[in-house]
Amino acid sequence: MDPARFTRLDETAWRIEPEGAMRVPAIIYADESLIREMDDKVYVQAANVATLPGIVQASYAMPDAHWGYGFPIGGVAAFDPEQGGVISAGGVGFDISCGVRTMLTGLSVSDVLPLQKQLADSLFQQIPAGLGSKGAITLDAFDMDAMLSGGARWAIARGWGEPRDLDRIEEGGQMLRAQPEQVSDRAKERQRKEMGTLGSGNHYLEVQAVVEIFDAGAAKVYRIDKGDVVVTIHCGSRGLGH
Amino acid sequence: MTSGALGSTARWEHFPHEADVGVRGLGATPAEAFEQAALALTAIVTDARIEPRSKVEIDAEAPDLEILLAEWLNLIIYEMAVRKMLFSRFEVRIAGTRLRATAWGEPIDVERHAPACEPKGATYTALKVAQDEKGTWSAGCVVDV
Repeated sequence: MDPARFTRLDETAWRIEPEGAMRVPAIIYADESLIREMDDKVYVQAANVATLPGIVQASYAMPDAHWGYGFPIGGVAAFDPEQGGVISAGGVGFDISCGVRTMLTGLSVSDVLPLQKQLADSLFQQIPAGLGSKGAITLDAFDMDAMLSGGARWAIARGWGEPRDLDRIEEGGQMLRAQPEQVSDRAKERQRKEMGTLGSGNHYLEVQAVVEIFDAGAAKVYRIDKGDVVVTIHCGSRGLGH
Repeated sequence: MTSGALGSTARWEHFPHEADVGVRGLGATPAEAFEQAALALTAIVTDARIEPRSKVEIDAEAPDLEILLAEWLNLIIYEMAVRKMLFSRFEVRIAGTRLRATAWGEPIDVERHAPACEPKGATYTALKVAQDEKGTWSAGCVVDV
């Protein structure tokens, strides 16, 4: 995108002034090189979000913003129900609870390197991933609704996690007042076959080494040190949200 | 990527989208364009041969032809996901905005089909069903993968 199309607020903030049907400005956070590389459609979509009823303050886009569905991926906006605010499926995202999570292992690179190949083989064998994979978990209709209502708490009650995990998950791992009865049978059927799998597409599991610390304070809070091994997963529903 | 001429106009193509992929079918009738769009959808997953061993019936209805296309592709994605199948042949009949179709295919064989990725859903992005000046119908949209 041409940086000249924006009002530059500072090193990393760029504003699209309201025009046409835009109710508020749009603000994109990125340095100049990211702005130049960003797809023009981010500009269009961030501006489109600014036209939605009830939007508060501005339509925002993060440095990773790219062309999405209605919203840019990486788009952020708040809507006030008192002002006719909307809920946008494209803004929420179609992958329910999809995200990236990094887990500490307590192991160092020197612990893992001698077993690198065996570890990779074992992960491949034990974690179903990719198209056509089947998980070890099969839910009937009752359990499906219990899972949708209970979230991570439901999983932990079944022994697939530890209670202290909940402290590190948004909303304690459970959004209250869920209404699983509103979810279509087809969506549930797609989820049923994906339970207990990593999923396909761009979902992944990586065993990673910490090679550099950029923010010593944050690293200390997360108890991450140089040379540590962490496991990062990108996972979440795929079929269910569609 | 383009493939498969059945009749004079029947063919499909993919068109680029930054993170996802667009599918478009062309044909002499909306039904033929829908069949070709379904082949374009399958081609996202694999270019290996898919044997038409068993068939699945698919019905859909929508307020207009464009939403019907998104419905149609989403129903194929649903059948692929739930039956763990891939399809290679489609027969579509459209009356008004009601669709009745048969899809032929076989269970996914990971080794033989080497599936590249799984479509998540058809979207309303770049959704278009239209007839050009030569009378050819095209039916396409972006598929979230």
